[in-house]
Amino acid sequence: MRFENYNPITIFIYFLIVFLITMFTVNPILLIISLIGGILFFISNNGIMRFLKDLAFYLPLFVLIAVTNPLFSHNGATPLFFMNGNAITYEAIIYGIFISVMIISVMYWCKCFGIIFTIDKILYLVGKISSKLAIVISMTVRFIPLIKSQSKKVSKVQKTMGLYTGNSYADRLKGSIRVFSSVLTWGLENGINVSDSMLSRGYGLKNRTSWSPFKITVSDIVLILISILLGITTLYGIYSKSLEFNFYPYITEVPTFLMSYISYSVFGLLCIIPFVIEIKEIVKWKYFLSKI
Amino acid sequence: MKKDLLILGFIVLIIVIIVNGTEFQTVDEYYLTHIDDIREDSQTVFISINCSEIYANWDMLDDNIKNSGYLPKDGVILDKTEYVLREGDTVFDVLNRAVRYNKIQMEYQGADMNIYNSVYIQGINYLYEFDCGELSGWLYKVNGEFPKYGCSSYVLKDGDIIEWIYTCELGQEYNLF
Amino acid sequence: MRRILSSFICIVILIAALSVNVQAESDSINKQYTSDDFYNIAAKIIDWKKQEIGTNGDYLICDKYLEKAGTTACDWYVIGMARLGIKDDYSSYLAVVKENIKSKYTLESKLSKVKSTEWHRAILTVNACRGNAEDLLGDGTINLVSDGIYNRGLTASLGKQGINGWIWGLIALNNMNYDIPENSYYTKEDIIKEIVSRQLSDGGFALSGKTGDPDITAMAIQALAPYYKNKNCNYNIDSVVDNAVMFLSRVQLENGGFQSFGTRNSESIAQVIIALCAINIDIQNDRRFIKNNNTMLDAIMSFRMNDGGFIHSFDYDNNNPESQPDKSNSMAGEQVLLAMAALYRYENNMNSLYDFTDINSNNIIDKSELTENDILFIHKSLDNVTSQDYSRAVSLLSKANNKDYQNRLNNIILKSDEIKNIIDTLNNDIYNVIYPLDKIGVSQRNSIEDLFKRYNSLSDIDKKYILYYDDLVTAKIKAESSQRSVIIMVILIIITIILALIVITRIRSRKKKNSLSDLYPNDEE
Repeated sequence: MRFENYNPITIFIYFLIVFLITMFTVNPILLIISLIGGILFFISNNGIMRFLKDLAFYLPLFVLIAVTNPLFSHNGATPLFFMNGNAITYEAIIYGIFISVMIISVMYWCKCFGIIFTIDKILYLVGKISSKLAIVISMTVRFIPLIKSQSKKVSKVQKTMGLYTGNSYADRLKGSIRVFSSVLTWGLENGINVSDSMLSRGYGLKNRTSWSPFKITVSDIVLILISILLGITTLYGIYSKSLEFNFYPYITEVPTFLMSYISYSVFGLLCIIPFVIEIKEIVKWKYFLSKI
Repeated sequence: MKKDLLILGFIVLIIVIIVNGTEFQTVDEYYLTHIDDIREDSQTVFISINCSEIYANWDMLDDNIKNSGYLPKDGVILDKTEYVLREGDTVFDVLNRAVRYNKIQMEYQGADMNIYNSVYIQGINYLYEFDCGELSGWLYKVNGEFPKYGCSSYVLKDGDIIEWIYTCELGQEYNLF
Repeated sequence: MRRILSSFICIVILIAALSVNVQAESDSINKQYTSDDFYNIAAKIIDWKKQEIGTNGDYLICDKYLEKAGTTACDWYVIGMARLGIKDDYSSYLAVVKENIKSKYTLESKLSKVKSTEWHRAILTVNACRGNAEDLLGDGTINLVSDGIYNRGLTASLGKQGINGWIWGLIALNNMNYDIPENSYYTKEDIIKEIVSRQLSDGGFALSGKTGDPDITAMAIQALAPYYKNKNCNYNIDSVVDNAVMFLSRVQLENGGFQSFGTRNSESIAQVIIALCAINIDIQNDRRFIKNNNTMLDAIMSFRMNDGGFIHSFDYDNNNPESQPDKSNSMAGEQVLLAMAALYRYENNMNSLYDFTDINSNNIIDKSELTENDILFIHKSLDNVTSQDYSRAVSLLSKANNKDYQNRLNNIILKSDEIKNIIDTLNNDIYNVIYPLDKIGVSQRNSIEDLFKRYNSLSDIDKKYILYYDDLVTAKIKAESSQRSVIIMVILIIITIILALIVITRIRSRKKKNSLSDLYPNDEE
């Protein structure tokens, strides 16, 4: 079973824990572990070539974020040089680098989340909480491509009718306002139609049951338990100050208590789970393939 | 599209840097050139130079000085100005820095040239001792009092207010040594 | 009965009074100082001074001392030593002082714009070193006595600086009993009158105010002393001096000392001693100057330190640790030295301290023999000459009788003078270029670079005379960093433009693609 085939609840809980820990720690080891986990997961999903291609974007972004911090934050005890009379400190640069690591790793996790957590999974998750909310979300999401294609149609029709074909900005603006207003009225009408038709089919009634392709299996429960266990252990590490780390005014030493080593390895395990699952699947696939 | 935004991000960053200025200095250079910058935590003293007393004793003033064109109308040669107090600074050190930075003429007798073992100020802004009567000369006050020491022996502390005044009645009322 | 009682009481009182008197008499014979004691105290002061300037030679006048020749800090020691008959290298001192005066006379203000006492001290110094103050260089160009005393009024009043100018003018005039020529600006009567007219109602003299100051009063007595009880002149100043002496006696403190401006100090006592010796008052035995069994000598010796030097006063100010009541002070030492010289001369029935008419050349050491060091110095390469060699070369020139040596020394003097000029112009240029410091920019870079080159071409010794080197360094860094800032800015602007071009071309090409796809749409629906 691939990671994306787990129950949405499992996936959601897993990502929630990883996001929480990544975003609320400044411990450089945890951040680096999170980044590595995110990248590995991304590679297992999209292949190494895609990753290398994306580096052309992420590396400059990494530099941009890392450079911005010391330019605006002059905190820190070790000035390296001065810019317009403001100290550019060693601490601020290091802090910038790790802020960068954090943002990039969150971005990678987000990317993976976006690929795996398709809209049907979101609706499943939201529908569990409220069916009304689910339909609102589903409609809204559906509306985006609908409106796009509708507005294209309207503008094409307008053009064929010879309206607003001039190149001047005023002309184009007028044309797009007309398109916008017509699309808007169409959209409202369409929305009411949809909700009315759903209502008439009895959507959301109390006693109606609904079918869903997602089942909670034993492996889901196992994964949820493992994620929660590992997550809580790491959070306990953060809470118990054994992962305490400060950038300002001096960079403190990376904590090396027993609890901190435990936390690092536990969080590392947590971050590598999806990658391991995917690899296992690939190996399995290859194994079966050769047998046939 | 994404890459364009990234490049735009870089452009914005560089423009911000250009607008803010592009003066890069090493740490040593910075401390050398900014030693007199007044910061929140820096110790400072105030100094002013004033010769308004000559207008009360105009008759006694040397004719050469009257016509020299160097005398300020209100007698203020240097308005109360704040300067950073460096470690171990004396009244003379601060005065010397103040007149140098403001390009005010000053003549003094070095500490090794006289018997007081302290620098003696002979003239500031072309106004010399004895130019306004035989009891005239430059005196200084620190926090409103006339110290008993030469100006290069008086070590200042944070917040001291130095006033250099040209007096025409040098003597006992100022309790000089 | 009553009579007997009263007469008895009278006798008792009388005896008591007498016995107290006897007691006082025996107490006053505490310590009588002899002329040898005075000489020894003075010699110890010279030793202390030698130690202070860091010489361990036989004589105080050494190369280091000569660098400051002609300043207040040095002249008085030379005068004091000369009057004590201490052997030293006065001819070197004279040579350097002469050169200094000669170069100062090229300025418009000559020795000083306002202070005539600069001339008076110079006259005493030159005479103490057996020079000729009336014709300093021997060619009739510089007459210190005329410029500094009787014709001083042509440039500025002799008393422009106050009563000091009159008093010291008269002392310098009496120094060699100079004659004032006819048609001079001042006559001797003028000067004496000016002094006398400034006597205050209490008999004292002062720089300002209504009460006398012991220092100034003592100096006034020193100036008037030659005319006191002198039947050969009729200036009628006897009462003036008497009143001044009474004033001094009155303000003397219980410990025998004096205070000036509220501070007990050694210098005031020294000045009073010199004054009283000049009018033949025996300060060790004259009852007017023994207070509570304390003589002035008791008071002045309390200021003596273990190293032989003297301190100014005992006042210590916690707010200002720079004033040290426990460290010997040059000014106190010099004044006590003069007082000891006055006492020594008084005990030996010699002329008074400032009466140089008896001066002879006995105590001038014969240093015409050049030492090995001197010869090495003379043969020094001109490239190694620094501004500091000036005074030594001048002093050696006064001794060298060999033509070759004289030429070499003259070259050294010229070279060192030239270096002095270079230093002065460099100091001036630095001042003009780098201030105000916060306005330094790229435009000054070349001139600052040039100043630096000039600074670096100086020898290490001469570099010390560049006043604002720190600021020059600061200015250089400022100019450099502003230049660097301009370069960086240009680079950044170029990068920005390149980046902007890249973005624009990308957007353009995308637009083209879009419009192409607009032209040939492949309908998704």
